[in-house]
Amino acid sequence: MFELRRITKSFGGVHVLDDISIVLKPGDRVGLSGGNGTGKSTLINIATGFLAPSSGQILLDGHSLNDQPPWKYARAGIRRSFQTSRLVPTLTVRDQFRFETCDPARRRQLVAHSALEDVLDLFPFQVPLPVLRKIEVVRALLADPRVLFLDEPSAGLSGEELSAFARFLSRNVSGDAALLIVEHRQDLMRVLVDEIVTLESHVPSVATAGKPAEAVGDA
Amino acid sequence: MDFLQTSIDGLLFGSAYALLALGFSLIFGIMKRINLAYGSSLLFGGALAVWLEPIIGWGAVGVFLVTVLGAAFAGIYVERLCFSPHLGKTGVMASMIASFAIWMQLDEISSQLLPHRTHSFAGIDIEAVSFSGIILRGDQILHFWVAVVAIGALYWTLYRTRFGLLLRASADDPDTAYLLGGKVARLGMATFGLAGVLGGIAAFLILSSDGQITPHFGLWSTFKGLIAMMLGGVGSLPGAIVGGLLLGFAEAHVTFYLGAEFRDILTFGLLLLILVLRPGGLLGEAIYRTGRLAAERI
Repeated sequence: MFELRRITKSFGGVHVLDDISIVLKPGDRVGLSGGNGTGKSTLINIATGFLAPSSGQILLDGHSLNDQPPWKYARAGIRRSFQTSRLVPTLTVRDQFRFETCDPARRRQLVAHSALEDVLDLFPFQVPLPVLRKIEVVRALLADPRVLFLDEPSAGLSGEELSAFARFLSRNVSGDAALLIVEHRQDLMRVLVDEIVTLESHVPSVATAGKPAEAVGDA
Repeated sequence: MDFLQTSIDGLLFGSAYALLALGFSLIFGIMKRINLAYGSSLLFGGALAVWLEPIIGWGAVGVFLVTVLGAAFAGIYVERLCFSPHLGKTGVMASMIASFAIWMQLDEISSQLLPHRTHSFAGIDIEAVSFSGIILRGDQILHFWVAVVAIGALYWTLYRTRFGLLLRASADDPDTAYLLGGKVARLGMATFGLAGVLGGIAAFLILSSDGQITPHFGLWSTFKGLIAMMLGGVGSLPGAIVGGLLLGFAEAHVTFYLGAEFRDILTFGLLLLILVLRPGGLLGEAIYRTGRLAAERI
């Protein structure tokens, strides 16, 4: 079980997060929404070790991960994507998938499910954006993550591409992994998540929880 | 016959340049770190070996080990002081200037270790081989084979292991290496240490061939290594070998036919010509183009 307990974060005098608590259990599908500047990406940065909280605890199975470097989070099975592509620009897609020492059969299966066989020998700059998004998710899934954070994975995708991407995610993120997804597109949220946590911009920031339909006003 | 002998001499001497270029290519091309102190790290290894030789007393073996370990230690020292505090693209200028300061420091330490300017350097005696009137120097044949083995080992490490993939990822973007589980700080240290080992081997082979070391070796190896790397292509390991061999070949012929005073004029002219015609170097064009397109698109 992964837990963010009473997380606060300030940058100078600006309070971005105030007393945020989230628990992610295996199989959870949580959406994180909120306007610009409400601290969604900051929360992911804290949850994955890229940023230290001003106070609060990050716990995995009850053990504190505070003050650990990001690679320890990654090796503990806490994986993420960034808003912008973080594929290694000078490696082919095939090489991007060789970072994880997973079973080759599983790698082949995931690549086939994702219909990425044709782009394996291309560099990221030769691949269209929807495929890049898919590659990043597949790379994270090859690590068999316990918790997967996706930071606006649909950014830049059109309507049709978005539906295909939503189908791809719901088919390939395994049932054991907890998924937390930051997303502006409520149609994607509706398909993927069971619960939406909304960060609000006023200070102190608060989190409210509810079913996706309630949170997006689509009862 | 003169042409053939000169060509072979040049190519075999060029394999020492190739070894130097391999270390430069790893640091400058693969890791994208402008480490001006690389040559002086090699000088430091050699100077430390000469200084410690009477104390250790293992002859050429001791000199070899201290040269390699000293250069690796100096490489890690440079990484910790100059490059580790400035990860990512924003620190390029600060780390380069810091490495310039360490260049001066290591040169000064080496000068203190070598007070007589020119010191003898333990050599390894290998018989020359001759056939059909052509003579091949034994030490230069050794250079060639060490260069071949070194490029094979380095290529395998960088392109066939997870360590190599993470190392290349951390060169492009430390955050990406982190999110893949890479210990970026240790990757940086390991790379600079590895480049120090490669450079230390090159320094030992070159200095033992010459039989002497002077405080100018750092600057000399920086010039030769950088030029060979750029001729072959920055970031291309086969390019480092080709660049080194080409540099040795060209220098040998200019020295033989025109005189030693024209050697550096030709060297820099050749570099200028190749950079104008092929900005990525002879074998680095694909890497250069990939890097440029990646920077534009990603």
